[in-house]
Formats: sequence, C-alpha cells, structure tokens
Amino acid sequence: MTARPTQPAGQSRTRMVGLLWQAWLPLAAAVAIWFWSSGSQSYFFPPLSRVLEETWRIWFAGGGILRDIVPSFVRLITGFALALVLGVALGTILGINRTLEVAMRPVTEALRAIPGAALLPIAMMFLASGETMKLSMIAFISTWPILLNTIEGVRSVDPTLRLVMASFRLSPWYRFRYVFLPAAAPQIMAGARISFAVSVAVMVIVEMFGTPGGMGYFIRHAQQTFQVVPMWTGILMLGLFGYALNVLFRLIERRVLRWHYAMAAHSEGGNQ
Amino acid sequence: MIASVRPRHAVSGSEPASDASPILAIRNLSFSYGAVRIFEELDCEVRQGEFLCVVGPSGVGKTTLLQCLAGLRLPTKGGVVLKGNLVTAPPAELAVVFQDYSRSLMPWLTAEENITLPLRSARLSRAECHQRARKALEEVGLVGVEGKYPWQLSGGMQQRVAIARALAYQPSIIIMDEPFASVDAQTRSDLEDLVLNVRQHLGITIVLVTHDIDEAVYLSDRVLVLSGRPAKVLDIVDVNLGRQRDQIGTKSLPEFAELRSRVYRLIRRKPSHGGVPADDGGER
Amino acid sequence: MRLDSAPWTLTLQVAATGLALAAWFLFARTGLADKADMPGPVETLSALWELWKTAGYWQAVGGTVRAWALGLLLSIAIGVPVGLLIGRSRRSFESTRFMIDFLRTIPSLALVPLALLLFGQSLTMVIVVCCLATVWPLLIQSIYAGQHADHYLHTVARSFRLSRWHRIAYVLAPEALAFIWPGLRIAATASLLVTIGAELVGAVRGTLGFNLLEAQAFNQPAFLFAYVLTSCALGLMINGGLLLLQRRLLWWHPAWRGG
Repeated sequence: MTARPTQPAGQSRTRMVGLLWQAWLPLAAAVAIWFWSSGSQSYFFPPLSRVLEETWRIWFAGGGILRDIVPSFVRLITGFALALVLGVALGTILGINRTLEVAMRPVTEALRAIPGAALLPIAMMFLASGETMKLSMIAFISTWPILLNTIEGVRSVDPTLRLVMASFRLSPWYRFRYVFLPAAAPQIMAGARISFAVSVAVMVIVEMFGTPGGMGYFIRHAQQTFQVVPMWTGILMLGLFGYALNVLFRLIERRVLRWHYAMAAHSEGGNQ
Repeated sequence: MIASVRPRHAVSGSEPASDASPILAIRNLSFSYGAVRIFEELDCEVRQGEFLCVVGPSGVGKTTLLQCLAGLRLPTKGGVVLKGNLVTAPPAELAVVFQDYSRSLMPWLTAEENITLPLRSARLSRAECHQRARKALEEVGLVGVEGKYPWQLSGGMQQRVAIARALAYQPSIIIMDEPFASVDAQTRSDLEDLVLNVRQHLGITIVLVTHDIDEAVYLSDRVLVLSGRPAKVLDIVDVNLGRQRDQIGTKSLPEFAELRSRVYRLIRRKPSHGGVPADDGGER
Repeated sequence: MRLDSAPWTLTLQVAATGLALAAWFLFARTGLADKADMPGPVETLSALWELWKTAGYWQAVGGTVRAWALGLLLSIAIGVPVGLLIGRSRRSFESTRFMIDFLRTIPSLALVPLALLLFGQSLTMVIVVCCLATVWPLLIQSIYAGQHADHYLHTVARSFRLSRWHRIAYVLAPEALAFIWPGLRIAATASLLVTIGAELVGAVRGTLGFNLLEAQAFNQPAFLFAYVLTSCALGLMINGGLLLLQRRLLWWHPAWRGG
C-alpha cells in the first residue's frame, strides 16, 4: 500500500493555518449568538445559555441520550442497512440483466418519483404507527438512491473484465463479490451517501407521527406542549447527531474506497 | 476422435515441433454479425506443445476468432474442438491473456489476489493457491510484487502478472490476444522472450494473435495467415527456425527474412476470389 | 427484430408495467389486502376521477405546487449568489466550510415544529421549510461553480472586449449553470418530499399533505392512494420537466451531450 508522504514542518504549519481559518467563523458566531441572545425576552428564541443548560440537563445528565438518541440511532441504522442490502442486491440483478432493467424502467421511475413523505399516511393506515411502520418507511424510501446508483455502477463495469470473468469461469458469487461489487463501489457509495441523508429525514418524520420515542417525537412533542427550550435542545442534539453520523459515514467511505482513492492519487502523480 | 485435416502446407525437413496429436481443432469455423460475414471456413489443427501465431491486418476479425476459440462467443457455423470436446463455453483447460492489461487486471486486488482469484473461485485451498501464484510469478520473472496493486506496476509488469494469472490456472493451452501491442518495443522483446521461455519450460501450447509479422515469425512454430473480407485462411506457414531463438541471432538469419516477406506478401496480395482487396497489411 | 430497437423496448416496458399492474390488482383481492381495505388499480383510478371533479383536489395541488415553487425560487435566490461569492475567495470558503457542513445535516423536517411556532399552520411555513432544505445543494454547487469558473474563458471574453452584458449572458451564466445544475436537480426532487412532509406535520390546509392526512384519518384508502398517485405524477413531471430543460439549456456541455 502506498504510504502517505511525511509532511515537512512548513506543511504542517499550513495545515494549522487552514484549521484556524475554518474555526474562527463558527466560534465567533457561537459567541455572538450567546451574547446577542442572553438578554432575550423572545418566546421563540430563548437565550443560548438556557438552551445549553437544558441540553445538559435533559440529554446528558437526565439520560436523554439513552432514552431517545439510541433508539433513533438503532432505527436509522437498521433501516439504512436494509436499504443497502436491498438496493445493492436488486441493483446488481438489474444492472447485469439489461433487458429486465429496461423493461422495469417505467415502474422503477414511477415508484422512485413518489415523494417519500406522501407514503407516510399509507404506511400508517396499513402498518399502524409502531416500529414496523417506521422501519419499513426508512428502508423502502432509502432503497431508491442506492438501487439506481448500483444499476449504473454495475452497468459500467469494464467489458474486458466481463470477458475475464467468463474466460476464467468465475462462480456467480465470485463475480458479484470480487468484480461487480468493487467495480461499482464508488458509484454505490455516492448513492449510499444520498440515501443516508434521506434515511435521516424519513426517520425524523416517522418519529413525529409514530409511537412515542426517538428524537423526532421529542421535538414534535415539545412543540405541541409549548416547551420551547426543550424543543431547541432537541434540534441542537439532532444537529450534532446528524453531523457525527456524517463524519462517521465519510470515514467508512474512505476505508471502503481505499484502493480507489489510492489509484486516483497514483495516476494524478504522473505515472500512467 | 479427431479426423485429421489434410495439412495445408507440406512440412519440409523441419524437426517436428511437438508431439503430433492435435490438441485444438478448428473446423469450418465461420462467424457473421448479422449480415456481415467476418470470417468463414477456417480450418486448422493446433498440435500439443506448439506455438501457433495468427496474423492478419487490423480489423480482419482476429479478436473475434480468438473469442470463438476461447468459448467466449459462439460461431455461426462450424466449431472448435478442444481435447476431443466441442467448445461451447469457456473450457477449464484454456486460459486467455488479453491485450489491454490495465483493464483485464482488477485494480482493487493485489497482484497475487488477481492471480489467485480464478483458483479460489474453483475452490482450491488457500495453500495451493498461494503456492501456484508464487511459482507463476517466478516463472514470469516477477518476485516481490505480490502485495502491489496493478496500477502501481509498469505496463510490462502488469502484462507479466496477467500471464502469471494464466499460468497459475494450469491450462493445457493459452490464448493471447495481441498481448504486446500496448507496450514499448524494449518491453515487447523482453516479453516475447519470456513467453518463449515459458513455453520451453512448461511445454504448454500457445496460440498468439498479432498484427506484427516480425513477432509472429519470431515466436511461432507455425503462422496462420488470415486476410480478406470475409477473412479466410490464406496459408499456414511453417517456421523452421529451430527451438532456440534469440532476438538478435534469429532475426539476422536469412530464413527469418524470407519467412517474414512470405507472410507479408500473403497479407498484401489481393484475394483470388471475390471480396474487397485486403487493405495495406501490417499497418497499424 | 434487433433487441435494441425502440418498438421492442416499448413492448417490453408495456408488458412489464402491465404485469406490475396485474400483480397489484390481484394482490388487492387477496385476504390480506382485503382486511386492510387496500384498493386496487381500478378503485384508485375511479377515486382519482371523483377527486378531479372536486375543487378541494385542485386547490391542494395548487397549494403544494406553489409552496414548492416558491421555496425553490427562494433558495435559488439566496443560495446561488451567496455560493458564487463564497466560491470566489479561498478564505471565505475555508471560513464557512464548517458552518455549512454542520447546518446542512440538520434535517429540515426537524425544524418544522419551530417553523410552526413562528409561522403557524400556513403555506408560508411550508415555503420557509422547503427553502431551508433546498438551499444547501444549491449553495454547495454554486460554491463549486465559483471556485472552478474557467478563467481562461473570461480572459478570452475580455480580450474580445465583450460588453458586460454579453460576458455575463453568454460566458459566465451558461458556465455557472452547468455547474449548478446537478444541485438544482437534487434540490427540486428533495424539496417535493420536504414540502409534502412539512404539510403533513403542520397539517396545513389547502395542500396535498393535508388531504393525504385527511384521507387517512377518515379511513378512505382509495382517496389516499389517489393522492399518492397525484404526488407521484407531480414528481414525474418535475423530473421530466427538468430533463427537458436540461436538454435545451445545457445541450452543449460535454458531460451531457447525447441526453
């Protein structure tokens, strides 16, 4: 594996400067909001200090993380994982079998054009408001970006590789696991990224309508009972939660596509 | 049960290149793409341990022929018989080395993983796979690159990995599709000698498709010349330059020049019946 | 008949769609679906026909489309200029990077309760939320456009002393459009989801979201399916419309030549 070149002292100083440029505005904004809101009498925009206090009380000291974030997280990951498996499996089948894909295209285009939120009342009517409904919604709606991108990725596998697979008589599983999947991985990842964002959005809305539990429910409930400060804490925590997940996602993506990035860096380096 | 086909060209005083039983028989092979006839009525027998080169101008259908031989395409008429069995799908005793090595090796696998992939798919044990890969890499003169990715290697090394992959597969016959067309001249000579050594060492049968006449004559025991549209076998030329070949010595032999020009003239001449005259042969 | 030809494709697609509809039809008649009162294609289409005759249906469609369009326009008006400006300067890009990264991961639907408090159960609320959701992809693509604007072309334009107007209309704008377009496509489809979602959560009268909720609350599955069909049709029209627009405006771009 190509080792990362060690950085000379000058370059690490540049990195420090870069980090400073990235940090100053958020910090300044946070400070500004703190002071600007401290004397706030507004009902809708309470002082930042109060919000932070309540965040600590409700979420950290009061076990809110365990009570609401963890279930949300589990729901999200399960739904997303289901979507990933379904999307990749179906996408591979449709990607390999061109005739089937072309035939199914009107159906897939129509299904994917349905705005996910519109399916919520149907889901509630037929699956009640419990966990099944929430998981099904997340999984179903998140499958589409992955499915479509997988089809694209699999279709674009180099024809030479197809000949290689055939002439060396690779078994179907080997073809999938060691050729189609890695070849389509960059494209699938792009779909997974979109899909992840969709999963989060769907998670929020199903929790707002479903049985109690989860962050979406918390925020909605706080608003309905006019507890404005707790509502803000919920929004803040959801923001942090979403951000942390995105960072995690990017790390995973970088690991899975290691060979791809290394190869791109290598050819950009001028050899090839 | 292979009915022997009358040889197209009399063998004169040359040492038998190999054991006489044919390993691959091409019978009346024809391929058309819709209404367009690519090649027709190709007949040839490839003997065990022989090195046969197929030469012809670009676009004549050499790659299509190769794909039919390898079971990757079904011919429109006629057939290919490998070791007594009709080829309808890629056979286990046959391995292919493709022209574009950068696209035939998988960039997400290391060199060793590329080589062992077909073996693992065939359920060989880890140990056996590893051993075969080692030996194959030694055979092609690459040691120490097992853990490298193809794009970290030079073009010549990548093609060697592709050859090693074919060798580790332990086939009875290897088919190569213009394998040295995408490398520079220096590397090409090295690879040509490599392939000759491998054949000498392992006694394997090789069918190599090329548009380079020099290469064809240098490497082979016989040269099958294709030309015309639709392509037909113009001749199968015996190359009696002996088993020991080298780039400088062999190529300065008068016999080499004579064989070379014979093949060249065959390709350039107009076909005697119908069809469009062959285009300027040998140009690429 | 060549397998690639258009009549063959059409036949295949019609056959497949027919099969899918037949499957739906049959499934709706099974015991499982019957218990839940799931409508088949026939019931759905007749319900849709009924709805087409009511004013409430068209009002709802109009409301949603208005909210969607205004939200999208607002986010273009905010996102594109800001993005282009940020993109031009390395410093401003670095400074805003974290904030944009953080803010855009906040699910906009989570802000609906806040928007409800501020704007009530109104179309304005929906527009604001829709804008909040769709501004990000546009902003990010505009930053990208600002960063990668082809200076060479600008120099060429200046050397020919093109008037300011000509420069903007014929050089800068098409170029920027090519960069921003993917962001617009994402924004347009995502915003429909957010719009309807906000309408659902906020129970905003005169919108598709509200009617969907109503049909579910009053246990009218056929109407419910009809409304879902309507939103599907809206989604398809938006997609199709954008594709057409893309062909007319961006036919010259190497990435999209040939559809």
